[in-house]
Amino acid sequence: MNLKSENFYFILLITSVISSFIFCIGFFPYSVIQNSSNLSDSEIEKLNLPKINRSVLMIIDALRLDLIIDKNNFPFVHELLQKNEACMLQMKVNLPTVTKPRITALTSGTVPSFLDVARNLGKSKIYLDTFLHQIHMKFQNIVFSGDSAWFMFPDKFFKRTYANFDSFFVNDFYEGDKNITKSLAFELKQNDWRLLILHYLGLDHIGHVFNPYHELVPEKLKEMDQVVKVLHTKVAEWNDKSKDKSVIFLTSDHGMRNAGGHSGNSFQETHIPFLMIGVNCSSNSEIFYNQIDFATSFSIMSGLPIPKSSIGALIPEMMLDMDEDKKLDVIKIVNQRLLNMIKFDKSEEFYLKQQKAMSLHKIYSEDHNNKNAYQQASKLFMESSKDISERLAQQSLEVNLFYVLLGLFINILISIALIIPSDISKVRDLKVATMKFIPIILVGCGLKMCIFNEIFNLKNDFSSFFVIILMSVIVRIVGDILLLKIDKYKLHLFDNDILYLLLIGHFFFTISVGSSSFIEEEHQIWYYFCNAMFIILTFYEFRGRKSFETFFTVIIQCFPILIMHIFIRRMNQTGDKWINVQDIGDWLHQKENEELLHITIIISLAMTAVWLIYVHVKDKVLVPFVGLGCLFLYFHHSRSMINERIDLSTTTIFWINIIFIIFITILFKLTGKSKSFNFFVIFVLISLLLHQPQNLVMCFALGVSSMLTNHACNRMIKSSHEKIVAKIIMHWWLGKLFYFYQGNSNSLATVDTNAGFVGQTHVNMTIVFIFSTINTFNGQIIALMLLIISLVEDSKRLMIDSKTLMLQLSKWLSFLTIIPTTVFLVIITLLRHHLFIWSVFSPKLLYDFCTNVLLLIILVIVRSVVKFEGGNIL
Amino acid sequence: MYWISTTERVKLNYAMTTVAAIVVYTFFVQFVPQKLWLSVLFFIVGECLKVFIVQKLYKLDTTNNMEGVLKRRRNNKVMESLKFGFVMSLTVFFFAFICIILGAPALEKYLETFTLSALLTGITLFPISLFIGVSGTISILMTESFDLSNVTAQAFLKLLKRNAYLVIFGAFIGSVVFPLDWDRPWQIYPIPNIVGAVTGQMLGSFYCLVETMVKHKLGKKQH
Repeated sequence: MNLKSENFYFILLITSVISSFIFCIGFFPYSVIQNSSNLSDSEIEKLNLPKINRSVLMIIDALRLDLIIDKNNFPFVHELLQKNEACMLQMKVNLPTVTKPRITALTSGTVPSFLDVARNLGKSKIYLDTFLHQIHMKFQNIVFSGDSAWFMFPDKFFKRTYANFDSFFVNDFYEGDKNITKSLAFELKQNDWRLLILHYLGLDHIGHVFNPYHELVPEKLKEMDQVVKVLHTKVAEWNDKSKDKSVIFLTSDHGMRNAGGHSGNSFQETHIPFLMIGVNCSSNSEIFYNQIDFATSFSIMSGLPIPKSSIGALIPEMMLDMDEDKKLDVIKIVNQRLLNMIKFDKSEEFYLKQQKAMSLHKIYSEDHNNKNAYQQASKLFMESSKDISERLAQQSLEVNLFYVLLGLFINILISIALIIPSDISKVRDLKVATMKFIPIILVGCGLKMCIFNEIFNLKNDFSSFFVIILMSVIVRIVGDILLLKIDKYKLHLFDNDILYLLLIGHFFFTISVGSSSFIEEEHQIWYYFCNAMFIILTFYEFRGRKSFETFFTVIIQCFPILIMHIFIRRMNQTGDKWINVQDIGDWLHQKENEELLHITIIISLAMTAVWLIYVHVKDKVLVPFVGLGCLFLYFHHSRSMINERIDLSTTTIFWINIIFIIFITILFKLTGKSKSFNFFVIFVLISLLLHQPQNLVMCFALGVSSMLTNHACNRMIKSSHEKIVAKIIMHWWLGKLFYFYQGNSNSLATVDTNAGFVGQTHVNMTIVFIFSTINTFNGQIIALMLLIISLVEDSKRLMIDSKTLMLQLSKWLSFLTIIPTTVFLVIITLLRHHLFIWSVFSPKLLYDFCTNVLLLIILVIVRSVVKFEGGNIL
Repeated sequence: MYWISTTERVKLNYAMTTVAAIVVYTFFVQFVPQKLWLSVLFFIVGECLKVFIVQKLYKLDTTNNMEGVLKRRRNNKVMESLKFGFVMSLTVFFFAFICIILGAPALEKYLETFTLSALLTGITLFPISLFIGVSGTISILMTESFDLSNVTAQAFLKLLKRNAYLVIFGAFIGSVVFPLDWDRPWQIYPIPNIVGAVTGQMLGSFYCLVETMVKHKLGKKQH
């Protein structure tokens, strides 16, 4: 194997992505399923508890606590609460607050892992023990209607299903819910089912598109109230006829934050209501039960075995019609069950509490009049259960330290290899014979078998051996590169101070990831630094101008860009601290400002068209097609503004137009009339299709900002090498800046899932994934393309060959991404027990990883194009 | 008594008065949003006094290379002061514009922005303009080379320039506390920037003190 020295940085980037991947695998835990004995089930059976007959589980997606407390939203429910025919409890949910993991938690009583967020979009099935499984085992029927997320359970569980398959269509506020209510009317007449699950999505969709204070919300909630009314009438009928009670459970999977999304850990997202309707029970607004407690309590009250992996405690309010002795027995058995599942010291508090409660229970069983002992025992059992439950939940989220440290070690090695300054053109090529890998692989495996297995409690399974072999190979390659670079060590200083300023700014960003506030507000760093950069560039544009006319041209060129940035930084508020400040985007979407939104769309599209045609369209034949494309985009955006983004006709014409452009380009290419691919123009048009209407201006803004930076760089910096470096850093910053301008943040809640479904009637996961990626990372992708275009133009002018260009590009881009990532990995490893690890740090890790993968893909494409086409790319 | 050169005297004089002014300021300062304009007033008066004292004591000659042949300052004092006022208020608006670009709330907190930019003008361009006049200041900003013919005056100008850099840098760095979620009263918008600016000036003075002393000591040993 022969690795050329000019490819070193590229190899370092690839290895860094691989080792970050290993880190992520280790860092995002998969919940460990503890197995409990069935002993407790048989004990509970002996008690011969009252059972409920039929139950309806009604889930209103994203119903937060304050929405149900407001009497105007749920008049009928509040009436029932006053008549004591219903009761309300409060629940706390674990992170991440996303539908699929929460349904898993609700039904199985376990805490699913963070990575389930990513799988929230996929269709992977779960094989956990749930009460659905238990009902199925008893040959009783479940009927389900609503969100297709429930299809992660095996289909055989459900007797009949009425799923709205396109449950990611965020613009569907009514259709899906109407279908559920329709199926409900039919199902209430059937009597073959034991459990009916209804999952309403409308509220969640309204939240995603607008926010919880929007006028559509009370309307939606009144619709839900009507559903409860229908259900309650029927259940009351059954309860009159039968001795065994039927119950309606009304709850939610997660809350909603004030800005409308979810997945974080604000109070509004993690606290949800839980209602039992149709039975006489007592409300409790003091304690927050855990969502995982539901599975245990539900299983007991319907006479099912507790799901095996459930780590939930008991909700005493759910023990209906139960005399006090039995209640205490159940509490005791559940506590005992949890105690069996955990490894503990005898000095732990929950164990002491349990022991004390046991003795009090003994006192009570001897003297049944001792109410005090009863109270105390019940309270202590409950507290002990809660402690154990929380401890178990924490344990199931342990990281795999071996993978984490392995990935971290290699990333640090890569960073060192990157940082060492050397004259890469003098560095020798790396020649490694395949045979030479064998010793280090043997050493790696030996280390693993002898030492790591002991320290990290590993098993000798296939995957860990695969990882260790891969890592040994990478260590060998990176180590060799490191040695070769040290050999030719040469410190190269820049002449221009602006480069040092840029590097200092990037260094500040690198260390800022140590603070959770700065991760949440990362956009502020980029806003601040990039705008300061623009000011400095403008200042240098002014400096040295002698005549008034040139002075005036500079004012005309630079000031509009600066003023534009003042506006578009307020287009989408993001982050955490100022997310509730009203932004221009929200304001434009208000009903009374509809004309203004139209005008904004027209202006942004017109400016984009002019910019594309004057700067980037090389063949005159394409000009009308680009203009037409913008016209179609106007129709698309002006039509889809109000609540219907499925605008098939215009999007189809738009795609046909794009195909025309591609066709003409290929034709010209083949006949040799044109050299360029027009790839950039096509990409900008497609990304405009996916953007939200207020973000249409972003592509144009990015284009002119890039023009300003290029111009200023050419003026200020003399050396051509430093010019390239400055442009690379500035464009990377610009990419980050526009990534955040667009409304993204380091929280998963801000991903615009709408973009994936533009112009489609059915969900095709691949297309959705591609569209969402293009839309989310739009700023970064376009900035990189602009950078490459500008560098290629420079190289033609200054006669720099494409090899040097690629070398600088891969060197500085990997430098700008790998070093911050490595620092972040170190910090996240040190802070892995931090309170905000799942809500703040983990999403940032995912975003970072995605950015690096994307960068790698783009570089691979650029490399191959440069190889085959020479300079004429894009 | 040691022999101290005039340049060193000027530097020491300026640095000491700055430190003294800031020490006095720390005794009286109140970081209440309504009373921030008092700091601005304090610093403008302070800068006036400082430059006035230096001019009075050492009578520095401020002719420069841009004016070509030795040319006295124009005698038309009314025009000169009008121009001075115009350029200073323009600078205030210029600083306010920069603040807004860097993210200051444009509509809700325009008074605070105005206070901050007035303060920044007061301790950066104002003393320089007092010293060498408005046209000189503009040529410093717009051209790479601007020198005074008098060595001491040039040293003093260099001191003022470095001071201005540090003040702006300090105000820039002051923003670092805004994203933190501590919710303290001193995290409200212009306060960290004002503190940063004053700290920058303070550091500049300390640096000047130390530099002058060390250089003086070294110079003495060589003799």
